[in-house]
Amino acid sequence: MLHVTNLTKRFGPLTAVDNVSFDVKAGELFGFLGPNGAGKTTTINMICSLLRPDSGSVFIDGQQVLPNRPKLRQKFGVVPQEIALYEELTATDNLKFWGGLYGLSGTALKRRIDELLELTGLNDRAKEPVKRYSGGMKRRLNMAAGMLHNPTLLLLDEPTVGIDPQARYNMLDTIRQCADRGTTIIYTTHYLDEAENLCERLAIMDHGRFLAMGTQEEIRKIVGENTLIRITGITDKDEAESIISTHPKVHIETMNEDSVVYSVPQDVPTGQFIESMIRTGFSMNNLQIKEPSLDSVFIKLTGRELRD
Amino acid sequence: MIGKLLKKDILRLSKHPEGFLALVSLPLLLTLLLSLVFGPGRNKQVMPKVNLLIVDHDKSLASQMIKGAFGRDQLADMFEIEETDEETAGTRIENNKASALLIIPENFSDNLLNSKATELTLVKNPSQQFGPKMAEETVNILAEATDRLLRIGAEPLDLLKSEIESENYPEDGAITAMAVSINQIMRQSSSLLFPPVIQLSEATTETSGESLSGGQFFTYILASIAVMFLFFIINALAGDIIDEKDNRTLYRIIVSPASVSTFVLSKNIYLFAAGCMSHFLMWAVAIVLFDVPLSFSNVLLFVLLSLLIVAAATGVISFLNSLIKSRMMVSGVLPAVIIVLGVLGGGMVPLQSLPPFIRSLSWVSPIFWGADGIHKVILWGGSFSDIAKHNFVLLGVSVVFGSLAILFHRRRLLS
Repeated sequence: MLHVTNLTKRFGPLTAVDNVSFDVKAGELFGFLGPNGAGKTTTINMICSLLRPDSGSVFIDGQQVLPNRPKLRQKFGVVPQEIALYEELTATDNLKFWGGLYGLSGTALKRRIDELLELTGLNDRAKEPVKRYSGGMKRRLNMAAGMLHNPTLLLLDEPTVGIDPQARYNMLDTIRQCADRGTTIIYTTHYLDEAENLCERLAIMDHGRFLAMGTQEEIRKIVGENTLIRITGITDKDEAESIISTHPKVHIETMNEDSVVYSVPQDVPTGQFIESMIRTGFSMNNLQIKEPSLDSVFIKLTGRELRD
Repeated sequence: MIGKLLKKDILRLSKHPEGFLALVSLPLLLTLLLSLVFGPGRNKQVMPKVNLLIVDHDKSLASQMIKGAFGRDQLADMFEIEETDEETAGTRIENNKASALLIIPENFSDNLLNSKATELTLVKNPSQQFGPKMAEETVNILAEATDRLLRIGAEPLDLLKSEIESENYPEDGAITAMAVSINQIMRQSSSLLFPPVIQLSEATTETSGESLSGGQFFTYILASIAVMFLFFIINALAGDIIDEKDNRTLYRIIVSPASVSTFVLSKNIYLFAAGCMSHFLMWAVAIVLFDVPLSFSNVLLFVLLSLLIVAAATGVISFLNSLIKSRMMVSGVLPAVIIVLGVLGGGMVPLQSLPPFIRSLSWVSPIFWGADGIHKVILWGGSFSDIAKHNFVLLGVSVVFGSLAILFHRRRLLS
């Protein structure tokens, strides 16, 4: 369905997306997981032909996107990170307009609008101006506008930012329903739980590069069965390395300016390792224990947490 | 696609038409106000007269001269004189029934003839502002003039006085001597007294002496103001292009099958449509309510010219909007540019009132071509050939600036 090769985009000295390649199969729910500024939105913008890449290509159903832009845009549905709606218009008027841009009209458009208002739970307030909606309702309508024309590829760019847990749960449920109907979805997020619960395959992204890509199981294998212990505020690097001499099975995953990440195998009791650190007077500000998860993968790959 | 984008913008405008209608009504209100203040017939309005009370204790020739002066020529238009006694005058002033009281003392004439100091007393009504001030100024001038006349004519007056006091009939020679002396004084002072050094002449504008009727005057002012306000109205609506970028609806539009060029073109058509709506609505109201003399034979010319004016305004404003980056600049910087164009084009002040240097630059402003064209069509009954140059310039402005606007907008919106 989607084939991306060696995609690169630079903004002056900053490389926003650095040689990214991946494939997404038809009907798959593929996630980009990464912190803000990782390059997720830039990648989305290049996929939907809004940004011209400096190098690399995007193919949809075997057709290169840029030369076939007008034809292929009919296949995309994009849900931007921000609420992109006309606040003075009603939900119905908004959906009529957005549907009209994709060539929908008449009863087909009306039926589709009714379906989506039902799906997003907005049918009772469909005749009200959007400016009277809550943040969660606007988010749902924002998503409905992107799904209106039944796109074969739906690009969702952090669609749940800034909404309450209940509304978020409802939106994720709607996205799952959409995927179940066979729509290919690319979902960007910086919420680990969303990626874990929603995406069949995902790519972990940071500083414009893919750090890991695969199914959740495949990605978790990167950290193996080991527990990660992250310590921040260390002052003595030699001391950080010396502790391993007493625990030969433990090794250092990453070491930064002020943090070190130890990988502790299952057969080494975590408590014993920590106790020995404390006993030797190891200087630290904070200690975190991460069982094997996407978060621990991110820590292993970058030396920091996703929210840092 | 353009139709859908256009329909959406008109639907949005229809949800909140108050601002738009307020902008359309502004030029009408402003023109009405200016017509009321400066329009024809205003100078015929009767100014309230200054009510001046006079108490004359002298009842002499000189006091008669003073009183008589208030009853002659322009002073008669300004003052209403009433002779009364001091008690009544005091009561009238207290009750705010008069502006001032002039008291002429006893022996006023004698003192003047004997060159003795004498004084006129002016009692002003403190509760009035302009009347007492006018009375004071006028009495000062009269006192000064009387004093000068007495100094110039001191010699014959002395002769006259001695002849009166001798209680004899003056001799023929004495009368001849007085007559010669007065004649010489008049001749010497004639260059100062006749004719007046400053003459007020009434000038007319290029209407070639034909005075404008109420409706014509209104139209003359409205044409310039309406064209300038058209630029303001279109500018207020053009800010929507930046709003759509900031609100991310533009993002959603350009990832759809609609292109940026389609979006910009639709916005320009929307600005043109809204501009036409405001322009024709305003003129329709003006024709119905304010006696604008648009003849039936010139309606087509007026419509053609109006369409070109709106097209030029759309092109220029869209181009200016394509150069700026924020909503604040749309409402902050661009109105200043429109005001400059308005001044040059006669939209703020009639061109005839501007210095020649600025008048020589008026051709750079599309507001000038629009307003002057309307003047020619409505007021002077101009034909197509009379406004052919105007039409050509406005068409050129709309094509050049409209094309540049699409080009610049496209580049900026995609960045």
